[in-house]
Amino acid sequence: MFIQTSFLGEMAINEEEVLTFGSGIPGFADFKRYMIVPLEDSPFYYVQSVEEGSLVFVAVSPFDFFPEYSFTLPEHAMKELGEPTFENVRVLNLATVKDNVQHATVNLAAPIVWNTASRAAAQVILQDTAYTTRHRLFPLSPVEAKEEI
Amino acid sequence: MLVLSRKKGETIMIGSDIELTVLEVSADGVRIGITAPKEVGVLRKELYLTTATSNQESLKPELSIAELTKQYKILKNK
Repeated sequence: MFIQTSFLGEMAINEEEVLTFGSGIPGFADFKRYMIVPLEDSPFYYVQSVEEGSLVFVAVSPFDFFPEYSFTLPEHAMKELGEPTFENVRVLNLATVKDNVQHATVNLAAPIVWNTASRAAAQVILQDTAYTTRHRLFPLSPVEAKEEI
Repeated sequence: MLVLSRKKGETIMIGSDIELTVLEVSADGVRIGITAPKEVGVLRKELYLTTATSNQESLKPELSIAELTKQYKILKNK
């Protein structure tokens, strides 16, 4: 099966690669099924809805940028993901990229987590975390750093 | 919306396994105790809304794939 997307063009849907978000993604609760599309030679991924061609998010693997990134999956999330083993857990975080990549930020407070065995997925909202929805991916140039102060 | 009046120490049941108990009432807030099964996520709504707003911003990439790749290469080689 193929879908027409507004950003990635025509895409073949391989059912074995489709992730199912039982609760959807906050703000887009009606859409449950997505595919992860890595962008070659870059740390970026697209999270593309297979139900709505115009619905696509930018994401990154947090560990490429924040090797120390860690969180504990709450029990309700473990249940929702079908009790994955540690080896079966995958994580991406949604990023905000405007017209300049250098200013891109990532939401570390609500990781996208999935179970590779069942392909059940969820955006897990971390509570009582020091992470925020806007961590810079790239350091500011000295000039910009000055402007920010 | 269903509106119920409760006094301190009183409880509301939602279904048979979710309970909300009013623990403390003060001038500027209410403390609520929540008992729910482990598979039920309990969340302050503002956290959900913050996530939804952030998701909204991650939507509809402004940069084309070619432009994103190009900018990233330049950045990496700096």
